[in-house]
Amino acid sequence: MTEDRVCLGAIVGVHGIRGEVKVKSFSDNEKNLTRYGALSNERGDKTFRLKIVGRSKELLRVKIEGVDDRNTAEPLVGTGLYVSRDKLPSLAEEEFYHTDLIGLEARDKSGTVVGKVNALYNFGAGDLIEIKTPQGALEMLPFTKTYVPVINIKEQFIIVEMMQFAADGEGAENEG
Amino acid sequence: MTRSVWKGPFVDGYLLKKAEAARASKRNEVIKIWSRRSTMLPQFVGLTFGVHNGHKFIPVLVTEDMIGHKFGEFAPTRTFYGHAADKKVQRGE
Repeated sequence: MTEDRVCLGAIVGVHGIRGEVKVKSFSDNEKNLTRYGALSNERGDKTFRLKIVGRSKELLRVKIEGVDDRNTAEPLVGTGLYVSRDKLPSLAEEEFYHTDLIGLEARDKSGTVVGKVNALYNFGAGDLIEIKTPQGALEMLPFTKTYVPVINIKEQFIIVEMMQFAADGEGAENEG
Repeated sequence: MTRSVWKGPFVDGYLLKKAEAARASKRNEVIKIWSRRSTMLPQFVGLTFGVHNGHKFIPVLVTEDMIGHKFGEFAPTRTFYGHAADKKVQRGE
């Protein structure tokens, strides 16, 4: 992310001689690439109006307004496609964008800093939040009100309850 | 090839004991397990397990939909670094 902008995808190649480019979408729904209007490059000095024209394996084939031949398209390879954070639609209650949460300071209930939000995942058993501790260790917590009771995006912090493990009985590391 | 029905689902024995103990304690504790091969049984629903993925414990809250799956399916062993883009999360209860 560049300040208040979000990277939605990147131009990774060209296709044919009519200026089509191949784009890798980072969005949950790859069609969102054209949903937020014009996109810009990392520095914000060029804007691109995209039209999805097809697919090329896992990539999208995209036509950029004003790019009509391969020679114009080739220098664009490697360009990130950014959108302003303000253009993302507002969310329902208890919904958050990853980009808003990543980097927030994680504190425990007493206010002690326990780390920073490193990433969010979903492996099929609910959303998880990954905290990077000052020592560099990565800890995952379920993204629920029990483990993350307070989220304050304005003041850039969350309050977390670290996981309490049940005492290890028999069976620890002895199977297999 | 699927497992024969007459054998029943495979679960490491110690895991059942741990689950029973956690349920009896009524504390909201995470049960550390290394048994990725064990099948999730109906008696595990509502419990949170910390499934080892080789270097850390991934929290897995067992729900009804997950019965019959293995614990290892929900704790990948390889890290994927994606982009945040416009992805969203919903905070659960």
